[in-house]
Amino acid sequence: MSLWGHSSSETLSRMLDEMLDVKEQAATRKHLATCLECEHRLRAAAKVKQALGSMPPLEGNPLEMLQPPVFVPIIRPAFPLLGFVIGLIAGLVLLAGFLSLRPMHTPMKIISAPTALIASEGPGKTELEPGEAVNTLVPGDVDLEIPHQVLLRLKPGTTMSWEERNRAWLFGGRPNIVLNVMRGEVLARTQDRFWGSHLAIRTPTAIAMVKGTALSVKVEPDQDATTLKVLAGQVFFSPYLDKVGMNVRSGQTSQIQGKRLPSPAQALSPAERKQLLDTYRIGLDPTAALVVGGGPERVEELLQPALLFLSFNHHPGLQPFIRNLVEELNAALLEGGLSSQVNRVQALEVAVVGISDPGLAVPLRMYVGACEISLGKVLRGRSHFHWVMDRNPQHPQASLALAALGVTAEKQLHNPELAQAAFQQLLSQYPRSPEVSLAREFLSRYSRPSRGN
Amino acid sequence: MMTNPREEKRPFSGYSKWSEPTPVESEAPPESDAQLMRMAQQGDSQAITALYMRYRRKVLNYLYRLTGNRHVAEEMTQETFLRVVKHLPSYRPTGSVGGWIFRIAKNLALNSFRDRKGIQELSLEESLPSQNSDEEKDGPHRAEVIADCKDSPQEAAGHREVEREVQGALLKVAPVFREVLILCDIQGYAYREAAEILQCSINTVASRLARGRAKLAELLGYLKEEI
Repeated sequence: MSLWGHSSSETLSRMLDEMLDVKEQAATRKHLATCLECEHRLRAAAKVKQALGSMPPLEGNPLEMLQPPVFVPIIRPAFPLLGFVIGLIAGLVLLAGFLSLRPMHTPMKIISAPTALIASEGPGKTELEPGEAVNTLVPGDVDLEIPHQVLLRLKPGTTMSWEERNRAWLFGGRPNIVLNVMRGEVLARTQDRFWGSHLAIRTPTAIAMVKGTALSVKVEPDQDATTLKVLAGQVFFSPYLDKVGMNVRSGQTSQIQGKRLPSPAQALSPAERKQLLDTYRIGLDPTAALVVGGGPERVEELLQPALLFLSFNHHPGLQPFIRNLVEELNAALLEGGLSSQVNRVQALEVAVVGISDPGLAVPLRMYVGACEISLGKVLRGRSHFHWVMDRNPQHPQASLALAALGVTAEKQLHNPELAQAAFQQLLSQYPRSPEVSLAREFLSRYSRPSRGN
Repeated sequence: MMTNPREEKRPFSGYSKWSEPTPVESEAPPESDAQLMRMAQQGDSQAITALYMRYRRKVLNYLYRLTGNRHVAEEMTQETFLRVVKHLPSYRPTGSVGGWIFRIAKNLALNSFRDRKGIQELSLEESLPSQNSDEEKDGPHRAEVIADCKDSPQEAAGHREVEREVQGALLKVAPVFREVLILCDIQGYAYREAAEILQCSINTVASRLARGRAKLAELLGYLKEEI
């Protein structure tokens, strides 16, 4: 009820639409029976409702019924997802920028300097700051390391300095390393985190741009010559400050004399290849696959007897199968594709288990064992070496299997006692084998602390 | 005798009633509105067309009564469905699909009122022509309606006159009351459904409806009649 005793417009309107409850409706009806004004307003509202209700609907275009318009929905990613992606990219860019601002240089570690090392601050140093020079005197090698990037071995009579340039903004600020070799010979091998980094080796006559590889650079100032030998990967070799050069690939060597262009690449001789295998022993950190310090070249060397055996004994089915598998595996080892390596090693292992002829089985087992170890499967790899030792102790590669057991016991299993036993057995059982020097080196290294005690 | 549009109107109660096809729309696919929206969001153009066929007439009438101009209402109807397509990716099924479409139409009309003042006066002359010129101005659609009504020419002319008066008065009512009158009294939606479309409470709808009816009664002179 309104202030003056009449029903409100809303009450009348609700009554018209039957939206009042029973009690309200009864009260309103009772009031309407006695109030002409409210009844008049109710009738007016009802008339309005009726007039509006009788308005005819507007018909659309009948043609649209027959042929309705075609709407093409716009499909686009929801805004929150887009915003998240944009935010993520912006965050990554900012993070990369932040990383590029962190301190630039990492000191170069001196891993071993068995004889004379003359640096700018004298002997006894453990690290080399960028810009410092180092001279090595005969006899002995000096092993250096930029952690996770490059391993270096300076041969006697080498003078070298190094510097680290501004890191690239991208790649999280990967090092840009420059080695200045004035004289002597440097062996270099890049390490696991080298990807995205730059290594340039400069000499008075040449510059070598390195991409993930093992190599040596020899500088002969008297002859104004720089010789490059590449064991694996490839190196862009050019006259100093000249952009014209050539790619020297795995197993090749080239020389630059004076300001001339590099000489045509030639194949490495067996002696040179053997010498370059030392790159895998720098810092006593040989890749596990290389058994006793050899690189992929050594792995191939392990397999040579097997391939010779196959060619002499005419196994028409087995020969191409193993040859193809080995070629693919060698490529995978050099390129570092882990899954392809695993698949091929497993296929080869299945084939090897069924072969009993020692002429083929021993080199294949050595090869497969080395590959297994390179993939981190140490015990499986060692089981192949054990097989060689137990079943074919007279085979020419048996001493190598024993040496491999010793090396893997030391490096992978971290068990010096086991390694010592293997090397002592090697000395006693195969005193004239090529691995004797390795065994002696190991035993002498581990016998020093006992002498001190 | 003119058919009462209220008889054609379907009671609008509950979510599922939104999708109930009218006789004209009987060829529409039987999917619910929500299903059609999901299909449309996945890129199905036929689902959009089905929604268009389902709501086109309701939206057109709503906009026609709101603006009083057939051509503007048709343009706005097209624009409404274009906006439906445009905003499909951001649609969240929190209410009824019909309510969402009507809200788009309502916002379009209100924006139009703000941008183009005086549209009511212009449209009144255009959309509600005098008896002499209605055939040429309204075109075949209006003629169809008359034919459907099966009234005599005199009765049809009388109804037309009443309609013109009511529509003229309706356009003089403030838009907030007008839209409630259109939804509840012309299109026959319940209070709750109108409240969902207008995004206000049921009490607000009741209040606006009462005030709109009172204003319209005053404009049409129903209150001046002798008690």
